[in-house]
Amino acid sequence: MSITARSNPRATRKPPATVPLSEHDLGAPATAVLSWEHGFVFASGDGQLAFATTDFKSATTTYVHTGAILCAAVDERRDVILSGGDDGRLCRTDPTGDVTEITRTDRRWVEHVAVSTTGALAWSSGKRLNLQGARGPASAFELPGSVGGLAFSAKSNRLAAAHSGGVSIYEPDTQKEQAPDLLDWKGGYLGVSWSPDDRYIVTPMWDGAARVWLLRDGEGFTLGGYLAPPRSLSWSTKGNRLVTSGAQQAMLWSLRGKNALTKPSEGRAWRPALVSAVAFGPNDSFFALGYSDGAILLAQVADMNAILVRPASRNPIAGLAWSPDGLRLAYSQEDGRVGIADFTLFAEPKA
Amino acid sequence: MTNLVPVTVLTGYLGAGKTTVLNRILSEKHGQRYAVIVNEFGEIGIDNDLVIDADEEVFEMNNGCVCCSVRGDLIRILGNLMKRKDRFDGILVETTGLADPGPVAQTFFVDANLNARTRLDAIVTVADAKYLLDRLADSHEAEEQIAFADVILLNKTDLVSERELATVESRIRSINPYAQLHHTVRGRIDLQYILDRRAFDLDRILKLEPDFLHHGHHHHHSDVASVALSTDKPLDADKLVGWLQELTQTKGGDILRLKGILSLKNHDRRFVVQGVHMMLDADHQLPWKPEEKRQSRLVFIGRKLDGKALQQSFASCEA
Repeated sequence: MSITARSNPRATRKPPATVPLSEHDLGAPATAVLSWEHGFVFASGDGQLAFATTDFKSATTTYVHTGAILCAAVDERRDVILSGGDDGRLCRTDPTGDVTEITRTDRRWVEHVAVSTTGALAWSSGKRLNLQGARGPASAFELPGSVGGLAFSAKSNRLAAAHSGGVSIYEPDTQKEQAPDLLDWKGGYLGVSWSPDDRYIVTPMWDGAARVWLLRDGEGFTLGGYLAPPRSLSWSTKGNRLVTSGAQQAMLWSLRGKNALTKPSEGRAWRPALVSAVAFGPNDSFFALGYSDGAILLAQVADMNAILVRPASRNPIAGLAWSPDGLRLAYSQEDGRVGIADFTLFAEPKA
Repeated sequence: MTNLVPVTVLTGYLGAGKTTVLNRILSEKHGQRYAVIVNEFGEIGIDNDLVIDADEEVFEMNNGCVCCSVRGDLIRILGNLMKRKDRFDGILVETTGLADPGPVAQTFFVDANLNARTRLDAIVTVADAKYLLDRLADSHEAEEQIAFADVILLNKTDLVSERELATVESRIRSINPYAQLHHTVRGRIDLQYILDRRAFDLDRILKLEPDFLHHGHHHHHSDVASVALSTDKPLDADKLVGWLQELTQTKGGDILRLKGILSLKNHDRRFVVQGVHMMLDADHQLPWKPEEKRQSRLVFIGRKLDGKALQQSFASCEA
């Protein structure tokens, strides 16, 4: 998709002046937004999962947790939602809204959950990490610090767990007694992400930087230039670009060529606000930016031109997720307002 | 956002009576809802409020300063608490008896996300009237807990004589003459003295007089003490800010708390500053009244503070 008018004879030649938005209020802070086989899912601070069709024509709600949903992930078939909450439970919810409790902890919160492409499951409560291989046995680990993020590599199926002091890497199907590989660097981490080609692991740091590790040799370096921790980060599907939140301009890092991870692209400061959420579109040519003032922009990688998708509304954008066809963008705001932006009228017709 | 959730830090050495005070806060009929973050050794007997176990995970910032450490678990827990639909009137954080309150306070200075939703209200230290002197003699942390306090509850006063009480109080004042000190028995205290104190709000720093004048020299060789600087001459804004930055950069490890109300040349409003270690927070506040003597005062509580040298370098900021 590129940002041009669709030349469908039945549609008007000109695209609408504004992107059609459908919005809804969860009534509690929005804590996650996900894309799955059946549309979009929003998680909330009062324990509900709201399921919306991509056009938002219909939405259903299931109360899965009694407190806040702190983490949510889709399974490897994009058909089941795994969610953890401050009620200490880890649950799976299927498309019919049926909820199964996987585990329950006492006075602990389930803060992070991740699913691998092969179906391995990982979740954490404080320093405790639980790992369930797709076929292998379940194991539990006590990490040196609280877990700040969990992510499986799409390529190698390994699990990265960020915790204060670094990142530990586990092999879900073989991990037994052996110690995990540790990438160490002092500090606090707010998440972890693998580049699609497995060359890098990137972790947003609490003190306003991103740490990058080269998996080849474990060497690391720090990406700077941020005004806030780059909590949200997104890779292009080919893995040659990384965009992050945490500054007034889009922090778009190239992973190839002369300036590879040394200098971000000359992104423009389009708005007098901080970028709070980012999401690369599925075809790598554009990415969405959510701002701390509630605005959403769509920017093209090639010329760094941007259009306003949603005007500012004071409350920060907390999450963004694309439909696989890149025609719809779901978003959530910290105060619980959620919506879907519809780009179908802007899309080029299929050849 | 105007409705920031106040966070009260409850500290004190093992056995001083922190848990008793905490249970009192929670069991009183005040109609307020508190979330309580307890340490792993806490034995809280109340279950009608939200109680969360914390790990007291301290980590250093990557700025090369060892004094810049923060409580990672607090950032995580408070951040997640703010995701709940049901809000709290306040949050109570109980530290372990062996904890240094510095990292807890610093967490609020550095995390913007936390600052958007919560505010550090006060550090309340519970001290054992009978054993505090022994603890101060053998524990670095006991000293820090007194030094950092905005409010000190001198507990178990029924177990000591008047004379012993005067001695321990005098010792506390030699470390921290600015905290509000209350005598308590079994942690009994009117909650208005410990909650919603706004001790870290710049607009509440209205005067900096010691709560108690400590006369005479003491025989303890404590290196934690307070220093008060003052001048009647207006200060130069650039010189002052430069001096404060330099001072906190180089001596931040030894400065536990600082507060100041300063008169700047060509400024009608009071310049108010407060800090913890290297972290500083400053702003122009209320205007000086016409009849008011524009005296600048800056007070420090810290280790190895050279009062004479500080007064001299402070004087060099005069306009």
